[in-house]
Amino acid sequence: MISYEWLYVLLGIFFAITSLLSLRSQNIGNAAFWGLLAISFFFGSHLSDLVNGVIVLGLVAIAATGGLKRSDPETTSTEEREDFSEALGNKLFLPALIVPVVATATTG
Amino acid sequence: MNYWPLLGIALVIIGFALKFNPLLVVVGAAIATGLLAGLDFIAVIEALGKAFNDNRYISVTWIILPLIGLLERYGLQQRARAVIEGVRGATMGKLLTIYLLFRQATAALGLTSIGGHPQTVRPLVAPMAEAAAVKSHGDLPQEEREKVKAMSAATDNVGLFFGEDIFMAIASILLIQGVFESYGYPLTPLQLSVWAIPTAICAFIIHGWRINAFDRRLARVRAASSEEAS
Repeated sequence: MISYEWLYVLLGIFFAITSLLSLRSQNIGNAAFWGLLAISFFFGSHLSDLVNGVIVLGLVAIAATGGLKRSDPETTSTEEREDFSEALGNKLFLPALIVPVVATATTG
Repeated sequence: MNYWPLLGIALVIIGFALKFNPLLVVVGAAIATGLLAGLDFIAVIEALGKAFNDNRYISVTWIILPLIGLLERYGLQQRARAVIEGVRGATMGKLLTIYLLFRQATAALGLTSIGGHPQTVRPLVAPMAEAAAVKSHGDLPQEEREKVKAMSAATDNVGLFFGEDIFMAIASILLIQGVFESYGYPLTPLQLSVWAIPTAICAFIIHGWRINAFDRRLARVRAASSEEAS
């Protein structure tokens, strides 16, 4: 049985990685925001309500002061995507279809 | 009875109308409401922390981003476009009307997670609708393309919202039942589900009309701009 707590840890890992990537690209605001969110997801269930509240205030403070910016990660160009789309064909849809299938099967 | 806490609702409306940062608006309104209700500041922060922590499951959608990002990197949107370009007679109006019906029908069976903005609209439906619109109307200005995407997202919302209430074991039905019961109107979930059907049909007709009216309007915009050009 997968409990929500496992899912939160998985999300926490995702947010922590995002935070580290932001830190690497010198985006301190983003790093702080995603870092705080990672803390909330890892430890939220063990922290006091007050600490969780302070985390929320921290998130709001960063977002409200414009600390959260859109990142500009390295990715493929439109032309490269056209080529990949040609080469991979409709197989590209398969992973995308896993999502509704799994979500429907697990949430009923 | 102290009505002052209701001021929080006004704060939300004003904040959104003035386009302040939504996170700031919501949390500001929450703190104001708590203080006006007579809680001390620490108690408000604690309530906020507890509510945020208890509702973390809402953020589960984030988990899908790496997958969608990876697929888009390898041309998922381009593929979705190519598929629709290959379908003869495909128009944005037809495509979105079919998606609306599909979303309502599956949501009515309780399959609410089958679609959604991150997993189906952005990577699949929006690029398909855009390609279909360009196919029937020719190249469109960026502003109109954005409206096509917005209409795709709206179609998902309408389909889900007016489909899920037909399924009786859904949180919203239980909420409606609970509210009615507390005011002395005992209703069964089945009654609520059955009477969600006329609303769903109206929603399909109204939104279906909006989609197709938008498609016709795009044709007019296109005709007007090509006249200017020539």
